[in-house]
Amino acid sequence: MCVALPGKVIETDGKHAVVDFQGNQVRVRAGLVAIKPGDSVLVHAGCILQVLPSDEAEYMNKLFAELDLL
Amino acid sequence: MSVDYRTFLREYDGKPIRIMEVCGTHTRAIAHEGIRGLLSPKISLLSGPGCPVCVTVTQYIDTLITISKVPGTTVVTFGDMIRVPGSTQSLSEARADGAKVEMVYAPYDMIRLAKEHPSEKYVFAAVGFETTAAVYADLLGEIIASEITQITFLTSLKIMPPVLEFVCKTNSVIDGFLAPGHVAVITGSDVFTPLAEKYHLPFAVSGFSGEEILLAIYALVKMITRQEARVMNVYPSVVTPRGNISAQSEVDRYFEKTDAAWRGMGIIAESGLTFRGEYKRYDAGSFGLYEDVGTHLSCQCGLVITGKKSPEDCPLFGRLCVPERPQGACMVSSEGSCCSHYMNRGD
Repeated sequence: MCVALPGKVIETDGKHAVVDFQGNQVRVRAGLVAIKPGDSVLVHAGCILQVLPSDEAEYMNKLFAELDLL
Repeated sequence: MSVDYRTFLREYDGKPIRIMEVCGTHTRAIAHEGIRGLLSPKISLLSGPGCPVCVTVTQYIDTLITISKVPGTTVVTFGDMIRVPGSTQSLSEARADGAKVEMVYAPYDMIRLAKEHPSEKYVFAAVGFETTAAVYADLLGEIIASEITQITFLTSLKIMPPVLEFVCKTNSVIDGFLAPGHVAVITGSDVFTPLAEKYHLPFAVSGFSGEEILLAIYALVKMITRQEARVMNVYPSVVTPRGNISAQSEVDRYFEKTDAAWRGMGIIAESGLTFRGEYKRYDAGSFGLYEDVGTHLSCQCGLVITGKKSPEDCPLFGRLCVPERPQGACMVSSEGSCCSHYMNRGD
C-alpha cells in the first residue's frame, strides 16, 4: 500500500502540481514539501511526499566503499 | 577488496541468516522480482506485519460495513480493503447486498465526490502506516480549508516502531530487518536506530526495485557478519536521516498516538494514530475497534506476519484459502505474505 512513484514537476501553484510520470501527466497535491518546476519528486496516493536530492551519487559512492563494493 | 554482491548473495555459505521485511510493497516486490531465487539457501526472507490491510482487525471491517448500510452514507476506500473478510462478510459482499462503497486511487478524490453530492455523507476507510498518515493529514487540512462538513474518517492508522519492537520481543530468530523505504521517507531512517541499539539488530532502509532490494539484503548480511547493530540507509534517493519534517508536523497537528489492535497480534500500546482534540469531530467511530473474530479457526495469519510460520505451513494455504476465496487477511492483498507466496509459488 505504500507504493510511491518518482516523477518530475511540470508546474505548481504551491498547493497542487502537475507531475510527469514518463509521459503521463497527473495533477497531485503539493502541501507536504516545498517544490518548484523541474524537481524530481516522490508521489504517494496523489500527494508529493519528498523531493529527490541531487547528491545521491556521492552518498552511494561512500556506501559502496563501506560495503566493499568499490 | 571489491566484490560482486549478486555473486556474494548467491554463494553465501556462512551461518544461516533470517531477514524480515516489514513493508507490503517489499513483500510484493520480493515475490515479483524472484529475489528468493537469487539468494543462497542460507539466507531466508520472512514477511512481517507491513501490509496495512493484513493487520486490520475484523471489528474495523464490520464497522465499515455497518456504516456503508446507513442510508445517505457512502464508504470510500482504497481497492485493497474491499475484499478483506470481516466477521461475516467483506465490503465487496456488502456492496453486492446494496451497501454504498466507492473505491478511489487517491483519498483527495473524496473531496470531488463530496462537492458533487452535497447531501451525501462520506466516510473514508483510513488505513495505512506513517506514509499514508501524512497524506490523510494533508487531506484533512484541505477538507477544513474547503469547509466541507460531510466527510469523516474511520481510522486504523498504524506506526511502525512499536510493532517492530513487538516482533523483536516475540521472535528471537530474526537477524536483521529490511526497513520500509516509504515509511522512512516520512519518519527518517533514524527512527529505527533505538530498536537497532536495544535489540542489537541491523536495519537496512531499502528501495523497491529488485537491485535496490538485493543491495539492501547484501548490506544486512555484511552488517550481520560484522556484528554491527545499526541503521544503514540504502535508499538515499528519497530517504534522509530525519525524514520529511513538514509532513511529521502535519501528522502531529491532527493525530496523536493511541493503542491499536493488530490482526493476530492483539493490542500493542501506542502503535496507532487517532485524531487529537478538536479534530475528533472528523472521526466516524474508530475508538475501541479491537475485536478480531470470525476468521477460520485454523487461520495462521498472526503467526505468518510475525515470522513464526511461513504461508506454506498453514493448513488452509492453497486449499481452503486462495486469493479468490481468502480466509485470512494475508491472502487478500497482493501485498499480503500468503497471497504473494501463492501468486508466485513454484519460484
